[in-house]
Amino acid sequence: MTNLLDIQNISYSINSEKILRNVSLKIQSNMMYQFIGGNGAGKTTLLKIILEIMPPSKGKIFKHQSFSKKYIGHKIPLKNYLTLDENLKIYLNNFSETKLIDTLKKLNLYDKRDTKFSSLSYGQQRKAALIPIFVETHEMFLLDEPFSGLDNAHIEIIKKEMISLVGDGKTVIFTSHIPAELECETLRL
Amino acid sequence: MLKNFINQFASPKTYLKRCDKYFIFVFSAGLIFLAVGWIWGIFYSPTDAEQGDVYRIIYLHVPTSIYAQLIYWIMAFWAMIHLVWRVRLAAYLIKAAAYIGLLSTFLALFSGSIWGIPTWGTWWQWDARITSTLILFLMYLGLITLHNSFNNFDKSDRLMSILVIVGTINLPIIKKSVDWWSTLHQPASITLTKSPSIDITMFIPLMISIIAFGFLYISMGFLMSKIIILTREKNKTWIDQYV
Amino acid sequence: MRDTQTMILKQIKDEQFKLQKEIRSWLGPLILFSLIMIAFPLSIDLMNIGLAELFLNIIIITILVTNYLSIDDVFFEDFYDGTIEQSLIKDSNLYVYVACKLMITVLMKILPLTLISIVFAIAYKVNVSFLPDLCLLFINMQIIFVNMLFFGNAISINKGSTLGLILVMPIIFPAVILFGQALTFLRLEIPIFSIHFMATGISIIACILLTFVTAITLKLHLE
Repeated sequence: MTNLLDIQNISYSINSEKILRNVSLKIQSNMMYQFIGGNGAGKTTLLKIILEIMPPSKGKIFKHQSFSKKYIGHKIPLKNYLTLDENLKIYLNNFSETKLIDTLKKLNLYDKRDTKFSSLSYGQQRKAALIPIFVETHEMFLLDEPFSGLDNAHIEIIKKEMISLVGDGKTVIFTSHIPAELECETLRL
Repeated sequence: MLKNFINQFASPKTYLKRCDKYFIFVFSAGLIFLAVGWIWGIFYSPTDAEQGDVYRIIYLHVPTSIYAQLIYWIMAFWAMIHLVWRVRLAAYLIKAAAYIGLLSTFLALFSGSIWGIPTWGTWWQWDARITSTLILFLMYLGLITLHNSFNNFDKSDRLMSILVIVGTINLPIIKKSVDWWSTLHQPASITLTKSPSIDITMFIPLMISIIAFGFLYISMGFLMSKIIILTREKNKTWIDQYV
Repeated sequence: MRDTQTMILKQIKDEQFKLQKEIRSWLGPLILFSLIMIAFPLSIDLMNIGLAELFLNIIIITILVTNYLSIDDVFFEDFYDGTIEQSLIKDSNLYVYVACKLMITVLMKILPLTLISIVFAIAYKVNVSFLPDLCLLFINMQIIFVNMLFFGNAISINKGSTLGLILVMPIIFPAVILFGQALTFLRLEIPIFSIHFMATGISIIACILLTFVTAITLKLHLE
């Protein structure tokens, strides 16, 4: 296990309204972390601070080493006017074609490759957005409510992949309203 | 060291105390200078050979035109301070200055229109300087609109600062417009490098009026920025003690 | 260095592919421009104003309005579906993203519109010797307009593009004045080399500076 990040007393506020208060956490490789909290608790905000999209109002994040990261948030950055296949060619980076085909089959999206993205159901679109965790290689994956919109069978597939990533030495951080049944370090916000 | 120097002026609390301390002096100075300048200019300066008494509007038009542009440069300076050193007070001052700049530009356009009717037979002409001043008016209006349309004040402060800095490219064009295009507008009577083209008996009350407007605008700035600070910092504990 | 080059090339290809597929986004403005240019002569008394004169009077504003409509939502979709967020996480800044968008806009929107403008210039019986000057003027003019409109779009991304246009129009007006003067000189057959040099310089500076400023503004919205 290697130290990747030290989150030290992070606070964040907008217009003097505090969203995060003194959050501290050490993030290491080979570990899974879960941020739990209700709506507006600051789960997505904390992820974005870790990703350096937004600076904290107070506190700092100390990086022990540089590492590549992949963020999969609420939004689905795939275009409605392109097919699933065309979207994936733009969305994915450094992936193997065979691995992608296996993943599409696993997620029941193989037959939908030539379907316009807007014609897919929300659940299918969410699954497509999660494909990078199967085919891309990063040291850290940050997933914002990865199970939303998925049926139980696919939730299990995603969970299995997350466990496999941790087993391969990666770090997985995900957010959730309710505790997921996974072996991970939990941070309640 | 520079950051420490800036920080000692950057506290809204200290600034408000200074505002309260200096406001009455600045405002009084403005009124006195304005009274002297205008009474001298309107009643005692000689009549112009070409324009008669109509020219006396310059004691309103020229100061408001000068400050319409100057205030934007000052805003650009504060915008740099805000963006580089994240000084919140600078953002408050930009907002206050935007309102004053808007007023000054409006007065410049209005007084210019009044001057135009008897002198050139038209209240509006699409010449370079007048049009550029109208554009400046729209820029001030745009800044205020932008700032007021966001709920996240920190973000809107920074967007406003960015827009101010980008907008400063328009200022040299306004300044040079009289040289670039041959237009209806008379050439600048006062330049930094040459002696003025108006008589000294008209020039002195004009300079006094310009100084007067400076003081008045600063005192208006104190008032506006006070309102903005009290609104934005209303949740801070020091506000209760101050009020 | 090689990785960065590959990444930039991929991004340019992706942007070009997306724009190519979103046909309404690049074809719509060209059709609109053509319709306006066809409609204009129908609305005036051609006995009192020549076609060539009319063309030179209307072309700047028509191009400006077409540019505005063609990049009306240039960042909107990418902002709301998280594409810009992904670019920021991947590159830790948005300069490459904005620069690629600008490059593709120049290639797939500005150049075709310039071409169609020249076709209409010929149809409006503008003096053929003006065409090379017009071509260069239109390209420089649109690069400046598009850069400002990109910035306007970025600054008001969650308030609608109209606010952005209102904010940057005062800054675009001097460019409108400059190019209007250029067309006046052209009409009077006065050489406009100096205006070409100035306009080219301004467009290069606009591309560099405004890409930077637009990227910072977009990043600010993500915070």
